[in-house]
Amino acid sequence: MMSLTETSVPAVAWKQYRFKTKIYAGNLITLLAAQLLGLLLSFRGVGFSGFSSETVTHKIMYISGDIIVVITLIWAFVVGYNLAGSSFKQDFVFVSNRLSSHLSNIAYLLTSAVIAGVTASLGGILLRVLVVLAYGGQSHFGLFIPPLDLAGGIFAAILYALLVSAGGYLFGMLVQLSRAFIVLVPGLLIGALYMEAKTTGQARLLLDAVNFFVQESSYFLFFVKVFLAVVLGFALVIFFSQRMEVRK
Amino acid sequence: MGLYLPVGLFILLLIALLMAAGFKTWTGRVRLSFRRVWQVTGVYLALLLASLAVFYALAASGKAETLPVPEKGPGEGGENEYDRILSAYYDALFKGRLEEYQGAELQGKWDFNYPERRLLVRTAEKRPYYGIIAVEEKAADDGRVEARYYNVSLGGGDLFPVNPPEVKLAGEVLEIALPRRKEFMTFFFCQDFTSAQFTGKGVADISSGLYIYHGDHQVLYLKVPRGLEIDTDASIEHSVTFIER
Repeated sequence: MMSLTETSVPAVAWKQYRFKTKIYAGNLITLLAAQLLGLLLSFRGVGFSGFSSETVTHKIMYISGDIIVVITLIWAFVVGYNLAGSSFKQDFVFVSNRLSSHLSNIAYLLTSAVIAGVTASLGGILLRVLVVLAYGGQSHFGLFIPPLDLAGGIFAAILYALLVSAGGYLFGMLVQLSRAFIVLVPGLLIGALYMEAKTTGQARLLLDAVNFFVQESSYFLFFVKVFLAVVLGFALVIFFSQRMEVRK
Repeated sequence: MGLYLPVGLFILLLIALLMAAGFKTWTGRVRLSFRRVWQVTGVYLALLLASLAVFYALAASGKAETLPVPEKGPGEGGENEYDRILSAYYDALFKGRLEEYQGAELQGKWDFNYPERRLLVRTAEKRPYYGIIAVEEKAADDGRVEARYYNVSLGGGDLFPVNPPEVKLAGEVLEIALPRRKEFMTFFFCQDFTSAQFTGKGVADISSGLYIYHGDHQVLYLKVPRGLEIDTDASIEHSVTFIER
């Protein structure tokens, strides 16, 4: 293809990014639906404990926005996966190359992660307000979250969403490379975990991988870990996509 | 943990695939207006921001909420602190020092003039009572029976609700009228795991110590005149403990 207009990769990537925010706007509706589902599932508590004596029956209901965050992360994974599958079709609208396409996708995933992380954390706040208003007369503990803790939660939720969506994007790209990966990757992962759990009684492989991120209590180190993992994921995507044939 | 993780992962993958299928249907077949999407999203964001304002207003107007789970020291669980509190409480009880002990909350107080030599202690309607009834003989025969109802102070307030009995003297019988069972519900808010990552106040950290300790730690403490003989019936016979000072 030839063009008389000179352009640069960042400029094209920016145009593609803006285009994608429009054509994938429906993703926001699914995010909203997913978070409302999480809210609904969390409303009756994520755990209970109880005690009963001859004079007292006491139930403690644990309320947490964890389900909202987890469902949001699933959404982020799906967005990454779908983007890898469908965005190249859209990119042929522009005079572009794979690099600009990836850059626009990365920018889109970053935007999605920010929106997902902020709304998921604020969804947890909405849950608290609804529970207090709905069960006004009951006693409650731990309602207050210091603003700094809330900001830390939003920060972590954004990074988790970015990490998971990058994972989805990588998986989606592998599937584009060969359909066999759609079965191979989950099969290998679950099979390895199953065998490990069966032989050792624990699935250490995934636990260690999860703990690598989840047990990091330093803001800076957590950021560095997620940043490096995401960069590695996107680098692999770019590497694999160079081996792909041009779509007919 | 065993097979839970692979099974859980499989379920998550299933949900993800279902969502992916849903997305394709939604974005592929149904045309969504970009403006309409942003309108809906805007309303949602406004709702979230409004809830944030309401949340901080609620939190500011509410009571001071100190978490009843004692702060953990390095390398120890909150239950160690509960063990220490309960141990000190029962130590004070069996040494007859509950009255002066700061960690015991007085929930009920009754005084009776009783010049007789024998007293039957039992529950009303012969309902079994499984709490502790501590009986201490006073140094002198002052002709007064003093009953006190204590609960351990774990610093949780409503998290450890008490429904104290009524104590009555009818002739030569000291009757413990157990109240009808009351139901209490407490909501315990835990931070999302994303916040808990930096603060350590998530579900897993908080729920661990509470289940064990929101039990019965109430004591009916009787101080009786010197030489008064105490009789019991089947309703409390396993509950009575005599305190030697």
